Amino acid sequence: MQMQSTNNTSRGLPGHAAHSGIQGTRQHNASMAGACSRRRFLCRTAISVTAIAALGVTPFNAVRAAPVTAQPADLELAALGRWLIDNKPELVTRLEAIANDALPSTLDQPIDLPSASAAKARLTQHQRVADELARGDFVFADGWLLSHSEAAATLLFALAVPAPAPAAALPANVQP
Amino acid sequence: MIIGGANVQDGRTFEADVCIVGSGAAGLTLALDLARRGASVILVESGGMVFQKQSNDLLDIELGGQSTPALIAGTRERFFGGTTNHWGGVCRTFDDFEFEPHPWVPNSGWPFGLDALDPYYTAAAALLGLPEVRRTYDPEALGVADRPALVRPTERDLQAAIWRRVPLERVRMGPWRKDEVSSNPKIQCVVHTTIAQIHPGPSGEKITSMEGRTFSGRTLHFRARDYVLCTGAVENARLLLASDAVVPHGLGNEHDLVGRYFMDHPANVLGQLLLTDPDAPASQEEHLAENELVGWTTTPAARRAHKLQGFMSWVFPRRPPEKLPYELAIRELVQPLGQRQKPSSSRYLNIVINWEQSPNPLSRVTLSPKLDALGIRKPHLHWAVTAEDLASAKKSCELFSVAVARAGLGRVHLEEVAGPVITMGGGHQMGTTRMSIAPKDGVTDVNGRVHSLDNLFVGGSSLFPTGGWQHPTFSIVALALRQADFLSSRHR
Ligand SMILES: Cc1cc2nc3c(=O)[nH]c(=O)nc-3n(C[C@H](O)[C@H](O)[C@H](O)COP(=O)(O)OP(=O)(O)OC[C@H]3O[C@@H](n4cnc5c(N)ncnc54)[C@H](O)[C@@H]3O)c2cc1C
Repeated sequence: MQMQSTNNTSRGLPGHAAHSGIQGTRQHNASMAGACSRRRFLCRTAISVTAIAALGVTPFNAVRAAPVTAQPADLELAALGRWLIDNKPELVTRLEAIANDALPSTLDQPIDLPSASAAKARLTQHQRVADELARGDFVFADGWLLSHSEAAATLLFALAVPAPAPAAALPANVQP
Repeated sequence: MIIGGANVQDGRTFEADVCIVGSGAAGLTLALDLARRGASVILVESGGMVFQKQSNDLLDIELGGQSTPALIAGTRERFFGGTTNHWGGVCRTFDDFEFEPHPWVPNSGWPFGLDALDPYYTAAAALLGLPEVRRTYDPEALGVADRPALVRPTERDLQAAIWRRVPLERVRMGPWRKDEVSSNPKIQCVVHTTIAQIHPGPSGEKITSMEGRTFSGRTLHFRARDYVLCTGAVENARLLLASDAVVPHGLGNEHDLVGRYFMDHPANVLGQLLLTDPDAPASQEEHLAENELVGWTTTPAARRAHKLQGFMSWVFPRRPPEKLPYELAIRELVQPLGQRQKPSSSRYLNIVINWEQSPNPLSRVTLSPKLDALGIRKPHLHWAVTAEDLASAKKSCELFSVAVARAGLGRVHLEEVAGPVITMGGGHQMGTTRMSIAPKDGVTDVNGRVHSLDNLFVGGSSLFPTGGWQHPTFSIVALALRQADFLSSRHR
């Protein structure tokens, strides 16, 4: 039952549906560190969802119910994170591992805006970013140069902020 | 004296020590310096004193390879002063590094080093009204160290490069030098006359005359001890190839090299630089002296490490200031250096790049069977940029993006993530009569003399065996002064 809930959560979380799809279809040999991080990452999501489920709210609502409302910048960070998930699937495991390490160590904390923001502050320190850029650990996200840590921060926002609902399908007889 | 060729008696012959074809940056500089040194000079110019469509149409060119009309349009002018009638006047010397052969770039390097050209760079600076030759960007020496700079002297993989602009009164070389030419008793400048054929003697080793044609139907002849073609990289090759009556395949073309190695500095808008350093001025020129410009180029160390050709980038205030996709997100991610506050509003600049094309024998000017209005075969340009050139430009863009981000200056948004798409020619056409030590490697020797001909010379950027990343005209002027030195010694 709990397992079921985790899967639902994965699909329900914004950006995560695409992410899970990628993981499901991709053949990859995750390194031990990557695999471990991913497990912790998913585990964190599972715990938060289970806890919220116990309160009788859906996981989707749980994130939206976070005490901080998403600002326009948060929404853009989340959208950029989703862009990465959709367009750079080969990087996602690596970015998850980085993001994971920047999250607070308490496992029962959900990935919400405050925790994403706190992790972002750690991930985007100038020296850390500069060192990554020097090592070649960067990606162009829709044209923007991002260090891997910066990219990882956007991934956290993609998890913390719901994706905009897809446009409702128009009846067949209505011209868009 | 300036003579309109259209009204001269048909068949007339002009004589002088040196006959120069073309009155652009190369031809004008050479003619006036030779005259100053005592040589008599004929300067033949295809156009008149102002732009006329009829003469400009003689520049019509067939295009192949990667050349498109947009890449070539407006890159050459056919009247007194040549393309300096609309150049930007931006000057810079070549650096030591550009003269050296680079093992990772086939056919690269010059047959001499910077030291051979240095005294002429100094003379060229004096001639063009530039206070001095400057290669490095040294804020202390410029007296601007206390002002906020957009470009710092060095970043990892990047270095600042400084350019100077020719002062306004000298930038249009035709109007600037017209009176000097017309009042100089040593110079006969024949305008409205297009050189159509170069005639070698029967042995094919020496030029005996040149034939000029006018739209009024006259044929004029020019005789001199030495002849110099200064008609630009496409036309220099065209004239040599079209002069094939005595020597098959054209003059100087024994090794099938005339017209090959055509190069330009392809240009693109790389993208935008979102300034994240709140103290950075939003203009590269803000803190510099008038007529000075600063931009970036990759360091020799980076070029060696990554096997790159040259690259230069400039930034310009972006107009109109639209919001870039994800700009808010980027401003959230990028933390300013040290104690600085985040900038409250977005400021971004357009990044323009020019990059060096490697000398490629397949990039070439040949002749079309079609004739122009004066009965001369039109040129055909097959401009070929190699995959290595594109990869080098892409890597350079990456190094640039990383360096400015590391420096805390700003964040780059690339327009073409897959690598630059060539959208503009630089208007810097080069390489079709390259200099070399050995005749098998080039068309001309270190003095610009066609290897196989005793008295035929070439001037201008068609001599460049490697194009570098620097604007060419300052080097064209320096080479012309060097050539004047050499030619005048032959006439003493
Ligand atoms: C838009 C633009 C901006 C530029 N800006 C810069 C810059 O900022 N800095 C820089 O270094 N360079 C710049 N350049 C390049 C610069 O203009 C050229 O490098 C320079 O003008 C070349 O000088 P040239 O004497 O070799 O040839 P040209 O100036 O082209 O002169 C050739 C002359 O030969 C004449 N001619 C041609 N064929 C014949 C013939 N058969 N018979 C008689 N006469 C003939 C032509 O009419 C012309 O007058 C720019 C070019 C363009 C297009």
